[in-house]
Amino acid sequence: MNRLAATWNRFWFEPSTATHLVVARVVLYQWVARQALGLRSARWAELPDVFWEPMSFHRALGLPLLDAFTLSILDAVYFTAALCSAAGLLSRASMAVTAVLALYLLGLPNDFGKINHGGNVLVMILCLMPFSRAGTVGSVDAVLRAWLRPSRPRPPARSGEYTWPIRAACVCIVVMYFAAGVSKLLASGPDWVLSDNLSLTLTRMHYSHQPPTRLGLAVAREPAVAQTLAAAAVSLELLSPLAFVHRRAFYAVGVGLFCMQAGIWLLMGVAFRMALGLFVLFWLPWGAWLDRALARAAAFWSPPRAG
Amino acid sequence: MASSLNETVELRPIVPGARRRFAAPGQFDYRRRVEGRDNASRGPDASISLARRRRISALLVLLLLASASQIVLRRDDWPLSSFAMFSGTASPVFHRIALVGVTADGEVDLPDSLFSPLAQARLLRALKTLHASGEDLGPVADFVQCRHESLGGRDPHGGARLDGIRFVRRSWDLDVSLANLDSPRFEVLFEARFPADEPGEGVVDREGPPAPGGGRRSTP
Repeated sequence: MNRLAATWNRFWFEPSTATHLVVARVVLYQWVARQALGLRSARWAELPDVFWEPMSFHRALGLPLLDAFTLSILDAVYFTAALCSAAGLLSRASMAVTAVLALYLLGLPNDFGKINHGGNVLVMILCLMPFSRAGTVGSVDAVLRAWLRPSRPRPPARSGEYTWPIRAACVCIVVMYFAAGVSKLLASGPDWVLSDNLSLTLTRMHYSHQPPTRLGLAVAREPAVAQTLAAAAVSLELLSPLAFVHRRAFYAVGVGLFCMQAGIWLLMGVAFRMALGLFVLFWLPWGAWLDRALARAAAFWSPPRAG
Repeated sequence: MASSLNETVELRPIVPGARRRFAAPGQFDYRRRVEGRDNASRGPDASISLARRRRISALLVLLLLASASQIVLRRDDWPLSSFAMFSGTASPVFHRIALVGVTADGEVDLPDSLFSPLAQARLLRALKTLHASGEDLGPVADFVQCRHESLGGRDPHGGARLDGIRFVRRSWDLDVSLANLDSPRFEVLFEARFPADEPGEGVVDREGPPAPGGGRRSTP
């Protein structure tokens, strides 16, 4: 039991610098703010009631479709909160407001007949961020704190507080792929791989979408190639949790999933841009790269030591 | 931020020989490269209290359990999900529901802007559900007509006036050469004519007589 707890603690709370978390906070929330600008949620209030079909917790909690004016106000608050989160101003409160409004506003389109899955991981990450200490470093809050209360101790240079949100985001990403793999097995079993399923799917996408290449049709013409790709995709999805067992596996799985996602776009014309963006933001070692670059820059600009 | 980074590189004690067991996104290797030594696995992190660690752990366990329940129960409780897109096996016949405009010259495709903010895919999914449950699709026709009139009563391509809408199902036998892409089988599921200038006129469905009272009826 102790070993399990130690493993758990090491995985989530291994001390690291705040660099990656700060980068993630700034990029993520400025992205959310830009998205908020084009949200125009008031449009949903113009639709006939017949389309209103609330899903998930919107239905369970009886959340109503608000009027156009209120939705416009919420959009503005959402944008402001996201901007404050990016800047690190009143970080925890602004991240909490962003999360709550994301749950309503980003869920709103799903209350009209179809649930899109492109934003699931984003919303989950937004819901986790208010619990993190993402605003303690590299933020307006940090500057104000240092200015107003100089006697207070500075946040630690390394802490598990800076590690767990990044890992939680990576876990959310992996859970998405793992769930997709399990769903394929539960829904179709081995037929998903061994039948002409992928050939038909690739062909179908040329009837319903406009893939950027005709590679999908080329693959569909070769059943063996299609089945191999199907097997590789399901295997990768099911084995994706191995990313957290070893650092090489982390990058191998990362490269594999990224290639798979890019392949889905090239062969099928379905681009999960948001998932890809989150992948790049949280999976790549931005902290290490920036730390190293800054350390080198500091060494380069520091005066040479005497002797 | 820069000052904390400098502190990190210069001041952290490092235990030589210790190995990391987990991948640390963004956190490993650079110290080895910068300082020629490996980073260390350390004991409990003193910067987080035990109570705080427990609270965060409870949150993470909750997240993992909720995600696992979605997978096992094959549910889709947004933002959690079992991500079951494309999990079924594909059929060799592809059906696609579409909403088209009716003009004096025939049919025209309707662009997404007419249904905004509903994307065509979302509208069609809603229509499919409504149609399957036998609900009146009249409000949908009213909605499209209203939007259409806001565009000046013309079809969005600037051509002839729209006289109504059709809810159609197109079917293809999938062919890897896409030879039949432009020649699907075609079935009208529902049709609504927009009212003519005089109230009560021109409200017809595909098969039946004009609906009483100017209303519309669906004809599944």
